[in-house]
Amino acid sequence: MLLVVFLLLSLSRCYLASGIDSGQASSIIGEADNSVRATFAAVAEAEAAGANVSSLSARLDEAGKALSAANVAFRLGDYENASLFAEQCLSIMEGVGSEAKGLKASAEVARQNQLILSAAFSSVGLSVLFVAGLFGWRSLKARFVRRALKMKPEEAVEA
Amino acid sequence: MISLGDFRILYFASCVLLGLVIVGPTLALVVSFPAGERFSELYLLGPGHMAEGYPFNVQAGTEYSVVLGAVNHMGGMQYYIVYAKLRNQTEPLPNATAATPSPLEPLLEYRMFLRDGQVWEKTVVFALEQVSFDGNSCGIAKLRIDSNAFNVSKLAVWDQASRGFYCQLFFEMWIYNATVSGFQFHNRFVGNWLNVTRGF
Repeated sequence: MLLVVFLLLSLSRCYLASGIDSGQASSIIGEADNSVRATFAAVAEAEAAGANVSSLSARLDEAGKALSAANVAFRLGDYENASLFAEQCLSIMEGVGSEAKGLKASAEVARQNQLILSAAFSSVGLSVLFVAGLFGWRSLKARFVRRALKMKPEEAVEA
Repeated sequence: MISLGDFRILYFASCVLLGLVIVGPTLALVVSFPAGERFSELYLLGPGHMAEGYPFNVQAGTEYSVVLGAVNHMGGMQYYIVYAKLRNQTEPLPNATAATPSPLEPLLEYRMFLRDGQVWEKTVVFALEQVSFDGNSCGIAKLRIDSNAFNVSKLAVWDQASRGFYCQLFFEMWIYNATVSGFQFHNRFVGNWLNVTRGF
């Protein structure tokens, strides 16, 4: 059953792809190109925000290969394959942009939380340092003075 | 013995230093430090993955390979295209001074998305096809790269000084500029001279 569906899909794809002229191929390649550019921008922003974009980058690579193949096929005058590769590129890109935006938002929240946590630890640390520093200075100063008072004055030795 | 004044300075300087150590991680999250030089690499190696053994004396119908590589040091993810082009001795290379690409039409292209520090490599397999010799000229009708056959129709004239029919397979690097929403020549190109010879 699955095989039949697959064959029907393949046949319909072949039927749709046949008879494609340069204008149609160029249009779909342009669409794929725009989609890749927009997705790249979203993924790059997510990466800059500190998100792990390894999987998205791999999909971008796949889409880039398909787009290159589409452009090469177009230059060779093979408009059918050009449009098929461009369609393949578009299907790979599906959902990547929104996933990148989601990752960017999560990365920004994580970064903000990290900043808040870090600032809180720093504030507590600085407060402790301030109080301990003052008390420490008092005790050290007292010890220093006691030690100084215990010292005997040295006599100058005349030659 | 150290004086009380000196001891006080030493003590409070230590406290300030310790304070900086405590605040350091928070500062690192907020303050951005100046980045180093930003650039991209494009390189071409021989089939043995070394800067030697490049194909030079080539014959029609024989496959040769070179390793093409790119590295991103731009400080963030970048989108590159590398175009493969073929020229004879009279056709122009890109102009590195004016940062303009070669006006020749690209044959093959490689698109890549590289994160900062990421390396991309590809073994490029090519073969000249339908090569003809006529006196002092050599015609190359087709160039096959990675199983794609391109009609190139190049004419290489006999070079008396270097004694050969020369053409050059070269690669240009372009980078996507989000500000202008387009690709710009990145002023990097590498090439490999080929001396087209008759088969024995």
